[in-house]
Amino acid sequence: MPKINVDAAVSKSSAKGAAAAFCRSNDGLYMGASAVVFKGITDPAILETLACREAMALADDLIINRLQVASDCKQVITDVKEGSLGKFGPGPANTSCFAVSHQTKGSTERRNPATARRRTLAPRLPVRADSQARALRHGHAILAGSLPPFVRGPLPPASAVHLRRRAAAPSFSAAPSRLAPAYFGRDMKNEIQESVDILKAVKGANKFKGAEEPSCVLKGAQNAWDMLSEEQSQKHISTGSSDLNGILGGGIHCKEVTEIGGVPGVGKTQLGIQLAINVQIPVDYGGLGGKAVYIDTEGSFMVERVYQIAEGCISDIMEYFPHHHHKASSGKGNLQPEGFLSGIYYFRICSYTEQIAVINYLEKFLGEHKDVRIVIIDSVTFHFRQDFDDLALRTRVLSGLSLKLMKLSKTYNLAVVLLNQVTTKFTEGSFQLTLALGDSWSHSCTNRLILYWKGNERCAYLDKSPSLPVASTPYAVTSKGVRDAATPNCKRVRIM
Amino acid sequence: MDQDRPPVETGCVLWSDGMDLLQDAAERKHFLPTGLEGIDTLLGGGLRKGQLTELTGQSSSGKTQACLYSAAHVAARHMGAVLYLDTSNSFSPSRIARILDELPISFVKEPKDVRLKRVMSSIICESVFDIFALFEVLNQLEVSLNNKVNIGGNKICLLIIDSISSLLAPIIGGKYSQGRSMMISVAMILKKLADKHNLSVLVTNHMVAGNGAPKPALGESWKAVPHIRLMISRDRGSNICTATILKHTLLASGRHMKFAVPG
Repeated sequence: MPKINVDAAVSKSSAKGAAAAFCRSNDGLYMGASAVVFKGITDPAILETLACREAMALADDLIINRLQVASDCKQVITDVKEGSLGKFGPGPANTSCFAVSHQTKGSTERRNPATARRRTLAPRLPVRADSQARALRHGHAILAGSLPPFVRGPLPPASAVHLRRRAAAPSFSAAPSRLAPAYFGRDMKNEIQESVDILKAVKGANKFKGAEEPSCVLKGAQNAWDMLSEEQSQKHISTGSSDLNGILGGGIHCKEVTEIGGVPGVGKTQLGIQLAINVQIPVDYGGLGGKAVYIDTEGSFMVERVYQIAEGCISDIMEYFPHHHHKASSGKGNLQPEGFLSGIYYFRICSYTEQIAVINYLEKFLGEHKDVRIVIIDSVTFHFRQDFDDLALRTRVLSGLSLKLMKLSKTYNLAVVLLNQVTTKFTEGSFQLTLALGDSWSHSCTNRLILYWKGNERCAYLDKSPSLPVASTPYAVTSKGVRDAATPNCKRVRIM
Repeated sequence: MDQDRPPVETGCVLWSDGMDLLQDAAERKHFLPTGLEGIDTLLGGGLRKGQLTELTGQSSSGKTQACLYSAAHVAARHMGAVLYLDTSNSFSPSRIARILDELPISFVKEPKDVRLKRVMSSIICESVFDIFALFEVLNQLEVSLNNKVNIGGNKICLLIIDSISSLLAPIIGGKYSQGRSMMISVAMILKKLADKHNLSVLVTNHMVAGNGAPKPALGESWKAVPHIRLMISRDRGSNICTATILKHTLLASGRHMKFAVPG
């Protein structure tokens, strides 16, 4: 049977009192805690009783039907046992709470009526997200020594503060349930409100309730079998060239970050624009029917060229689906270059501050535009190559950005394509071309495709991929966009 | 006041002597095969339970491949379940399926598709994109392990974090020390999990440009954390990798071995 320990405390400096309840399961696992501050109530007995009421509310929140409540106030226990209403008994204001405490304290086993409303374990008072996060950070350090291991947080548990507390109050570690906010406040010189926030945050941080769901190891984690079948049902975004799709395993994959690098003029931006168009090929024609976000830092997004590529894409679709076209003539309105152009959300970035801001804003934007399936940043390098003196800071900022992009691609099931410039690097006695932004950045993508010139032919080289072998293939940029390189036997251009 | 104080032994762990440790090492500290012959030979059998192994190497040197191989082999040989924490969306189920396909059929003669499903179900993957999420996942894992939760009858025996450096890189450095203290907290939690629950922990780290040759990232204070540090490099344009021991608790460092990662 779960046990709820309750306690109350009175503030020395102001007319405030606090009551708290702390619930643990049979085997001593933390289940929840709750605390509340009452202004103007300073009578210990009343506060102790209010703490009992808080325990009942907590039991409701945790959906516990049978429980034990432990109080250390003799007066409350005697009052409950005798059924007396205490010294304020006649006062109407307190009758109800005494009645509640009587009902529960009298019998240690209590059943909720079958019609009881189910309440979740959400904090009972709204706590602002930022204060919650702050409280999490402070709170973990303070609570580290006294709570079960799984609520321990980022800071090392043996902090100086904690050691001082342990020395000053040996009984604290023995009875960790006495977590009244005011008790905190007094010892830690915290504000009472902050102490309440800490308790609430700890409660929120334990929402996963590991103890209650013994069937899963991690909430939200998937096993590889489910992921495999999910992956096999995914469609990929075509690059326009079937050879290129071949080495990429069908095209650009959703849920992954792909970096494309190469010397100026080799076709990075062309490929970026092609992807922004191809992602919009309707589902009927074998595409994803999504939209694109294009973040342009260099100003190389030429809308006339985009129009041209869209026209090229439409004419290829018409060529391959002539029958389809007649049947789905009602959907013909979609297949206008104008339609493709309006499906690209374009951001023009003029400084690295703006770039960071846009990437931070994307989370909200993508939440509102769920049909976006690709985010293209052309190029991620440009602003970070100039006006950035502190290289260590640049590395940190960039690795933070790459983690954000990883998260976006996974959360919203979209492809992120980063275009990168090249730089020369001195290795093993010679200068070699490598991608810009340094060694640390090179770890921050899932796949990497390098575009280069081989004589007069454009080639693509898959440099990094967790699932595909290293490979290279020629491709071409035509007036219609990115296509297969023309071969002597005139292989037909394929889109899908 | 003094009689309230709990006896001093309650908070203290039991001591053990050298013979106990030796017996424990022989009976419980098994080696988990990575499936890559070079690494297994180099480490005397593979990843040791109760220890933290770090793979470091340049981008696209084969670190993720080594992680995927280890996950597939450990799960395929009935050694236990695998938890894979992925920070760079590089966990590829199709790659694991292909690795399993190449494996010879085991003695039990279970059909390939049955084995595939069994193995794939005992590998679980979670994406982690910031340090706070990592703390939460590790805390949850500890609760589950304390409650003896298992996956399809298998106890978790291998925890892979690929890559830990991409989570830590944005927070360390600069003039504030919180990032560093969080890094050390991660190290403490990982080592505690490895020790208490007899897990093998495998993390990957990237390389940064040092004075002259590239060196593993995360600096000197992280250097002390892993029991074993292995550097992987790959010859450009081929699938032959070289593993070099940079740090090992038992073996001499500096030894190296070549191995092939099948495509």
